[in-house]
Amino acid sequence: MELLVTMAVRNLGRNRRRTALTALTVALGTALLTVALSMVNGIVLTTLEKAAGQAGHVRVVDVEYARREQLMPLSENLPDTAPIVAALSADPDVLAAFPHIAMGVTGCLESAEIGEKFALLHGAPTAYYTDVLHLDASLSAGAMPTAEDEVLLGRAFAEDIGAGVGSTVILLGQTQDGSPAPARLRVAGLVDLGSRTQNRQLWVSMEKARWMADIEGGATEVLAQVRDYRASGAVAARLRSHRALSTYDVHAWDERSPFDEIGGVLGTIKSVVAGIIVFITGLGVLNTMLMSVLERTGEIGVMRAFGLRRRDTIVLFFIEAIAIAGLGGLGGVALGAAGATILGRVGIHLGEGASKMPATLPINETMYPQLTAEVLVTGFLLGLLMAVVGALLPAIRASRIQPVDAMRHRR
Amino acid sequence: MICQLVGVKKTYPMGELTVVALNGIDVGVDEGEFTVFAGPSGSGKTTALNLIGCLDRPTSGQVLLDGRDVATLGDDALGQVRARRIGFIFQSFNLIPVLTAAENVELALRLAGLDKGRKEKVEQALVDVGLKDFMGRRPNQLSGGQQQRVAIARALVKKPAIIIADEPTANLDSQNGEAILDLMRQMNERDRITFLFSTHDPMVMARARRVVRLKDGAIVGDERLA
Ligand SMILES: Nc1ncnc2c1ncn2[C@@H]1O[C@H](COP(=O)(O)OP(=O)(O)O)[C@@H](O)[C@H]1O
Ligand SMILES: [Mg+2]
Repeated sequence: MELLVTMAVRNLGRNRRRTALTALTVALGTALLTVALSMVNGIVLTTLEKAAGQAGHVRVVDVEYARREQLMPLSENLPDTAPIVAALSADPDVLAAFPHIAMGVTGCLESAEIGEKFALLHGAPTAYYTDVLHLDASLSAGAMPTAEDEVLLGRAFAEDIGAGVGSTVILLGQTQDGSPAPARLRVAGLVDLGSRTQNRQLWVSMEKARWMADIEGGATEVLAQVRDYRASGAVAARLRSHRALSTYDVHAWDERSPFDEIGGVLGTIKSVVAGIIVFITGLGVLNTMLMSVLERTGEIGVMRAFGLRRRDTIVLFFIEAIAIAGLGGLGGVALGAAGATILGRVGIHLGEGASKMPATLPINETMYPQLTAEVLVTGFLLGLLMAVVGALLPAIRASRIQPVDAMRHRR
Repeated sequence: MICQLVGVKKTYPMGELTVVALNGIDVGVDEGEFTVFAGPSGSGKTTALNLIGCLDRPTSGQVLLDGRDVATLGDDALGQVRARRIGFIFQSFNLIPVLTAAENVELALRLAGLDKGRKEKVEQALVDVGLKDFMGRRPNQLSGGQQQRVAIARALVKKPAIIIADEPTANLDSQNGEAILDLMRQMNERDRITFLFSTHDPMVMARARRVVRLKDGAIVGDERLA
């Protein structure tokens, strides 16, 4: 065994250019993988955290509302949110709880005819807008609303209807029983959330939304922020058994559509990307390893003649492949880390595609890869896997070499 | 009898045809022999050595090693038998290029699972072939004659029942070839090591103590010399 390792390591030096080429293949594969995994990570860490916040780490709605939530049925509301907010706030893991009303509206400038421009209207306490959505940090013009007849417009919607800071807009919504609910509001500020879909929303005060929907003292949902958004499920489970909440639908963000599937989807994306890179790099390794095997037919035959077992032949080539991949992998991880760090500063423009995502999935058009220790380790290990994949066929080919080949083979 | 071929036939398929390399031969080698398989190129010498050395299996007939039919052994078991009982020397030396002379010799011991006193055995084997001062050299730093001596040391070190050498001098000039033969003969006479080798060179045949003549896959002569 020691001698096998010695041989494997020395074999690396036999054809330096080929060894370097193989190592480089693995290095590039690993680097690519490191960057790709960092990107997926970036999406997860930024998008998902934000999405979880927007959706409410834990959400309380009427059972009937939960059943038909695609339609956002205002009629299936929570008539009195105060006891719900109190019950949620009493939980030690809950940081804050906010009533929230979401409804579709059309809007236009006061001076224009009633427009056909749609937007998603939100009504919630100011603290929700600043502490959870960080709208104050996303202002592109104007200021946060301070009065009940003021509104914050997403930039895309503002452009659609030609509104600016100071404009007066007319919004048309519906009350919970379906009557028209017009509102005349002054634009306090414009918000840029990074994609057109997200920028087709608008935010009014809790009171204004309650008035428009005609849900005095209530809301369509109550959203709770918890200490660690990844632990939302456990908190939701505990809250479900709370006496004051037991008649409602209480669920964590990742138990609800569309987030309940997002973890699996991201996992699949990661696996597919990793699989493709490992496969392609493996092919490169396979190519050069096969050349080594063919070149060494004679000496493998000799060792077989002297009693080397087939499985030891396989081991020999795997040791070689893993040694090369170890070197290449280290280089690749370093290269990939550098790449991911630079891209993390500059950002990657995802283009208009990101804007086609629904507002519930707030993917920004510019993505920032997130490099973590986990990515580095995964990248390196998958680099080794590339070598194992690539060495598999050559090693099996080598193990087929018969001892009699030693006699026949001429150098 | 160390090893024996009984009615051994070996054919190779070549497309439509089958090449008959050995056409049913009977031959055995006893302990202490210094025997050569002689014959022109293509007469079946290498094929016969491969079969006796358990590197290959016959198409029909039996190969006996220590009186046992090796057909009953699986590939790994046969490998272990080879590792312990048979030493090989090849025409083109076939040393492992990345290992030093000493490591090449050591490899044979390790593959045979002989770990006791390994270092001393390796040294002794290389001293025996006159390469005391070349133990740390790689094959490409050695002459052809020196490489074949390392090969002899490698075959010898595990004290096999028989050493099989296919045209061991064919890749050497006559002077080096003779020196190698002298060394082999000396080991045979002094340590009673059994040698079976092949050649088509009359000079080499003259050094053997027994000459088995092959022609077209058949044995056409078997004579013992003084
Ligand atoms: N692997 C093989 N495939 C086909 N024919 C072979 C093979 N090995 C040997 N032969 C044929 O068998 C015959 C004997 O070959 P060989 O034993 O090598 O003879 P020698 O060693 O005396 O030159 C030759 O005709 C040769 O062409
Ligand atoms: Mg031959």
